[in-house]
Amino acid sequence: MTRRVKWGCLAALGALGLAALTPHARGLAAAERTVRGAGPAAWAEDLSPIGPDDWSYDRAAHLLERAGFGGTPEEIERLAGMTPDAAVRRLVDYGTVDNGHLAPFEHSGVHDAGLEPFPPSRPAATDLARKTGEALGVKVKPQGNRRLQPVADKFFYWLRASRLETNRAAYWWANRMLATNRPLEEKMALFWHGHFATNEDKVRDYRKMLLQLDLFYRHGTGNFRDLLIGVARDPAMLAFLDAGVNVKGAPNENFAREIMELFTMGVGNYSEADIREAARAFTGWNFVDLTFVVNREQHDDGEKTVLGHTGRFDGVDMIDIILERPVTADFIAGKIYRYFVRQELPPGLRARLGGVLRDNRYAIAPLLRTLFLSKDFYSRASWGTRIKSPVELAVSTYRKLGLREIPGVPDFNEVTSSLGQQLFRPPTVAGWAQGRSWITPGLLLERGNFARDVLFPDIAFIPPDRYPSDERIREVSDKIAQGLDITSATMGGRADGEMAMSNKMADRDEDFNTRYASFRGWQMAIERVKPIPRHTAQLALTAIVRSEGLQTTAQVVDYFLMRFLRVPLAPDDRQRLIDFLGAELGTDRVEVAETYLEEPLRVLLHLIMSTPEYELG
Amino acid sequence: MSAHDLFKRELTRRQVLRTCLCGLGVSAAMPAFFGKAARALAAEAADNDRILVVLELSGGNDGLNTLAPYGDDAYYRHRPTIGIKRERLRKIDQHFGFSAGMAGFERLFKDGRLAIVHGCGYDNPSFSHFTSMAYWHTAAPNSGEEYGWVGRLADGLKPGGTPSFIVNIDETQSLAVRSRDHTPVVFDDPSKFSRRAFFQEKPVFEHVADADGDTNPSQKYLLNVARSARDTSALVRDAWAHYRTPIDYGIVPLDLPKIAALIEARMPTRLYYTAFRHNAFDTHVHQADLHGRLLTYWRASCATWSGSGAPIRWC
Repeated sequence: MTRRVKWGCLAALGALGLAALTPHARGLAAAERTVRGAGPAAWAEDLSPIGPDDWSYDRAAHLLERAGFGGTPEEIERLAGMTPDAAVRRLVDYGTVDNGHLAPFEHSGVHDAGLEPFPPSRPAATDLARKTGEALGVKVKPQGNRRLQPVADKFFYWLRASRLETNRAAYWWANRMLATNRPLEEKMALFWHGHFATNEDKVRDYRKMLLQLDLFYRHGTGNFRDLLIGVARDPAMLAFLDAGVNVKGAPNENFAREIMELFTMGVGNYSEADIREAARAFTGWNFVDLTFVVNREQHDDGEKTVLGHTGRFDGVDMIDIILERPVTADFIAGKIYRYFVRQELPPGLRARLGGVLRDNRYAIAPLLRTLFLSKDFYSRASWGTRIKSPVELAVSTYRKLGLREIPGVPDFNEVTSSLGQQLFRPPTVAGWAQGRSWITPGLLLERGNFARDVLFPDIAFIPPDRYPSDERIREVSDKIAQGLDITSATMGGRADGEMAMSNKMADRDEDFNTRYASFRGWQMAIERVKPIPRHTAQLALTAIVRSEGLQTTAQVVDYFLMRFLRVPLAPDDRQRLIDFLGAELGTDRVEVAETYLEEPLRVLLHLIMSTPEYELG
Repeated sequence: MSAHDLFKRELTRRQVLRTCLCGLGVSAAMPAFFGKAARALAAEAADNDRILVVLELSGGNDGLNTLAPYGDDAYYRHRPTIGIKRERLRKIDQHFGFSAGMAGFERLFKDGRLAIVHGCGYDNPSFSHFTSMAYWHTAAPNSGEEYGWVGRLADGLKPGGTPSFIVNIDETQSLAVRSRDHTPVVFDDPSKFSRRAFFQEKPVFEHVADADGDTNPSQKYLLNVARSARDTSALVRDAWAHYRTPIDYGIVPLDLPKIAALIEARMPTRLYYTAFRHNAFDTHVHQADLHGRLLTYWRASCATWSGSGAPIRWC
């Protein structure tokens, strides 16, 4: 169909009075009729619900940004077409929303039973092998040089394979965030991941990380008591907080301290004595492979006195005692508020939010419904003030671009990690700091660079799951391929083949070689681990401009500003973008430039995504 | 002799400390201990061009094992396993000696170029790692103080703020440099502190809007950071690209070469803050080996500066 015929058809449809308004224009028309922007300042701290008259496209966009990862204009319009109450229920009560199109995680098959229990260190593994003749499911060679080498290789294999598989698990999760019909389910999982933070670097088992994620899916908007007990029994958390060394007679305070300080009450609401006694209640709590177990002989079942209560408490009793404290509900409700609404939380409001959680006996969904419907949530103080975390920035960017798959270029984990947040790898048990901590001058520039890498993929991209960044591993690989003995190949420095050949000392006598094991472990891992698909972002910005019927550079700029920003630009900035686009196109009429529109549109989008305003949601 | 007595002995060192900090006018920004000595010097400090570089031994470092009071029996009684034997220490006097890895520091002290303030702390220390770190960064325990001590120092020296006054080299901004009036320049890798942009985009990136009545607080913060990034990134990148030094910073240079590069390029910064990454000193077990090793890195890195002939005083 020629262009003239196409535009002609649209005009005809318009004349017929059918829904010839472009999707954006439809939405815009609705918004003109109703409310734009934030509610009045007086709405702050008012938890009473907004009504249908307070609802609009803009308010629905705000809700979707916070309760999820934002969306396309079509998705926002769907919410805007409901009453606020129905929209909030659709997001919060997602149990009945079909999500069947999402596939379960596809394991690469890197784990085997011989790896359990995994020794705490390489020396522990090789010592075990020396003592018993076997470790990690691998036997010691009866004779010859480097009899323990296969054991050492297997040790490093598992570390590498679990790390690579964790990166795949992060991709799987990010794809769910992008494609789910239940955005709040994913957003809550991300919230709980930052709250009950464990890091795979220490846990060393990607399966435990997925198990924990599943826990967050099951109880994320359910009951906090169920979630907390689940976390206290979760193998990833037990591994991360040294539960294995928390035994009768030698209680390790780490677990009990973090539960009280970070997970439930906050500093100042318990004494050191409370922590020491609580630690005793959790003794013997451990895991075998992926199963929670209680070692009866290691559990101290004596009488403890904690937070004013005395009894022969175990871990679950401890949790109930903690939940009984009013401060616990305040703490949790407050943290949820600061994550979804805004950072500044006056004590009075915090107590009221705690009351909502308490009144619902720690059911989380009612609190969320209250928050998302409240006037406070739509007040000026809460509007466009939230700085997106790196994961949220990446996912919401992809969502707003209308992508259905997380691109493999740039690498999602590399991007989010360079911006300060990597899924399954929070820096400490306190999770991520949030808010303005995400932004420094360096990081702000880097966020703009991310946008550029999506819109203009790097032609020299190297997939990190196929190329070891450690130069020493690559060196060993080269030298082994050249036929050097293991000692020469792992010597380090710049020994080339010639120098090694003149070194007649050659292959050393030893139990194993660590550097070789590191290389071999990497090799065995990439053999098994499935590669991450490396599609670039499948963008068609010209098609969007066409389907929206945008005709001038001003209309194009305004459309993309509406689609991507939650906070308006200063008029000068907006005009500068319009002038820029006009200069790039050589005209201010879209129709004239249609055949070469794609590249200038991408540059325009890079400019928009580099504005400070783009970081706000 | 109790630990409390130890601390009283150390008060004689205040003389040296005053000399060390006199150029900076550490005024009301600092805890009371420093306040008296420094308040009188505040005005002078605002005009001279002395630079303060702070290196944080995150995790944290064990001061009693960095400079061990070998002359005190209580030290060995309280530390039967991790106490350092006197033969292994680098003695500075009859009472104290540096950890073995700190070669050269005893020389600096004897030459009068190093000041030591031992036993810094506060009553009823918090056992929470995160709370303790926050107190060290704000130098205001149990106060709810929201700004860092370096940030308050900057506000005291230059009320209203001066661009690029504070530089913090790290992945994220430290609480220590958080300031009311100043936007710290924070970056990690100087060669990557840049915006990858097309040639034709550059004129657009020149402009950063000013805040007005409609700008929300988060937006205002972002605009300030954008301005700082725009103004400093090219300077930092060029300084790093042009920095040449024959100095060997050792196997773990920390971020000191980056700071040296900026000082050499005459960046207007007066306060630099950096740290050992990722709480390197945070151990629950096997402290001796790890701390010993980390201290040698520190020593190697800093020794280059002390050998450079520049008028540097250490504290």
